[in-house]
Amino acid sequence: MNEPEITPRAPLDAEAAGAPPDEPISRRRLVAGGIAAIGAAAVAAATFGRAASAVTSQLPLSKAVVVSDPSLCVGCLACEVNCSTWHASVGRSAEPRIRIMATSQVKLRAELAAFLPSRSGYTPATCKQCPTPWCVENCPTDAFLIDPVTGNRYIDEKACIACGKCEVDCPVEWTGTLAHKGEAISSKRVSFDATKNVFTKCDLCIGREGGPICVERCPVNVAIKAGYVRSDTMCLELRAATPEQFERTV
Amino acid sequence: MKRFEHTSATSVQDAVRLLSVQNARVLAGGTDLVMLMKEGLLATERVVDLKAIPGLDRIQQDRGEIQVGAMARLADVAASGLLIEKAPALAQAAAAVATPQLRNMGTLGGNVAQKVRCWYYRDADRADCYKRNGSYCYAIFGQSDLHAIFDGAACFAVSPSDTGVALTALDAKMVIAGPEGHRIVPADGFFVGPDTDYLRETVLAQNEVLTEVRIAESDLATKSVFLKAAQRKSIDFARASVGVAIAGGPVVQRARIVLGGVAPTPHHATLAEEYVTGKRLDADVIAKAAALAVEGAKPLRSNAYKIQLAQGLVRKALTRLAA
Repeated sequence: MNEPEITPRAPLDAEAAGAPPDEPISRRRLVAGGIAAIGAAAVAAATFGRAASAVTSQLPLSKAVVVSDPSLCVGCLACEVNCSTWHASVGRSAEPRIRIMATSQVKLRAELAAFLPSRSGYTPATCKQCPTPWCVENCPTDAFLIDPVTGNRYIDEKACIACGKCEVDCPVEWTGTLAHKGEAISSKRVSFDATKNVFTKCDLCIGREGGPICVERCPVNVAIKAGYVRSDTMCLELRAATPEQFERTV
Repeated sequence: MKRFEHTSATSVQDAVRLLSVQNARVLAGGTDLVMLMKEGLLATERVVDLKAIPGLDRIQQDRGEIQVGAMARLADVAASGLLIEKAPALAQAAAAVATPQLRNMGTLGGNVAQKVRCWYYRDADRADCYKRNGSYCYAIFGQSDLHAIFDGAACFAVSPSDTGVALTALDAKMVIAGPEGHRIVPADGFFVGPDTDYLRETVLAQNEVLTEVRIAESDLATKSVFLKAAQRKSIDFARASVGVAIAGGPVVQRARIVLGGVAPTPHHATLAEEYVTGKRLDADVIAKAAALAVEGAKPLRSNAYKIQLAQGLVRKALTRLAA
């Protein structure tokens, strides 16, 4: 399987969005340099919103997004727990950025169901790394950033002022019942951590050697890689965050 | 076993001071700690023995509370006339732990704070188990006979404590001493699941000591029972257990139904508790409550038997209290 790389490699077209190639792209830089870069149409826009939208459409896509195959998920919560644990270990919010939803209509693949018949009906879901990231566009500080190399949309929690604009703009939700203790949830996938007073979302474990910890530690992924479970997809895997993938991703 | 320093605390404050060095561990009865040290599962540079601290083993009644020192031996807890009368579930749970020899050594504090008994954690070859700061749970695709049917999260080891189940059912309070003084934590909040921290079983910090448990004298505590099912009946850890406490009668005013051996912490059967509240415990209500107690269980490959086991224990416990 060819997983997209999310560790830095060839620079993307960051300069076109107004940032030096090694600097994260932020709204402030979009406003300062991006408008000039994308031409007269955006400059002539009368409102910030319209101008920013034009800028947003020029932003690089993320080279990776975590996608799940619910027919392989046994609801073990390893992704949620490892997400929390790793982010807390590097000083970021311990809120899980990936959540496993209880989705009774989803059936576990026969090969796994024969082994774990009671552990069917789960769907892991996280930030979809939108092609048009309104969260980045509307962040009033430089807290919501785009990695110029990978296109990863992430939050600098130290700069977050918890205004909640990103949450309002986020187009995807966790709604329903969590696998974790059957708790109800109704939340955007940019979510608020009241303990740290910051907003948080999947940042593809930026800075972590080996990439997203959920993908690495998913025990079903481990079983597939070891040959114990046969599958041509992984329970959790990285794919390029194209507009087509955005439509397919749960 | 690696070399370590043995120290003997003369007071709780002294114990907290002695625990200030890295990898210092509390030694109570030693029935779990010494095994963990021998197996190399717990790095230990100093043990802080609590046995010489006066009064830490008392079992007494004071201002509407039953107070049991953390160093009270399990045998004494099991035989305490006060507990048998006022909080029978705790006495029964202590009596159900292991063997007479171990109950003569083991303490109440040690029993509630013990490490998990997961066979993968205890296996020297499984260094990548979560409980050993690893990254994998072998129970998910391995033999899961001992493991959780509720609330597993990355790690599926279960809380092995019998007395913890009883104390949770009794709404006990845990008194914890640390560098900043004392804090009191409800039994409900004392146990830590892997969703919070898979390396710990309780909220106890490395430099804290559980000194006492307190149980409010009440109808709830008096009408309580603990039952346990184990593979080898006389000595084993629980495959499933239940602590039930009921206030009121014949109509139930308040109920605590807590399952042990089936989850990473003592597990409140909330649906069953809510269902029996306001009802008389007749056979139909008991059967329905027992079914509700295991609703939502998600067994792994080889532990579905725990559903029937727990359901049967709840039915027996409620029947006993209804009599």
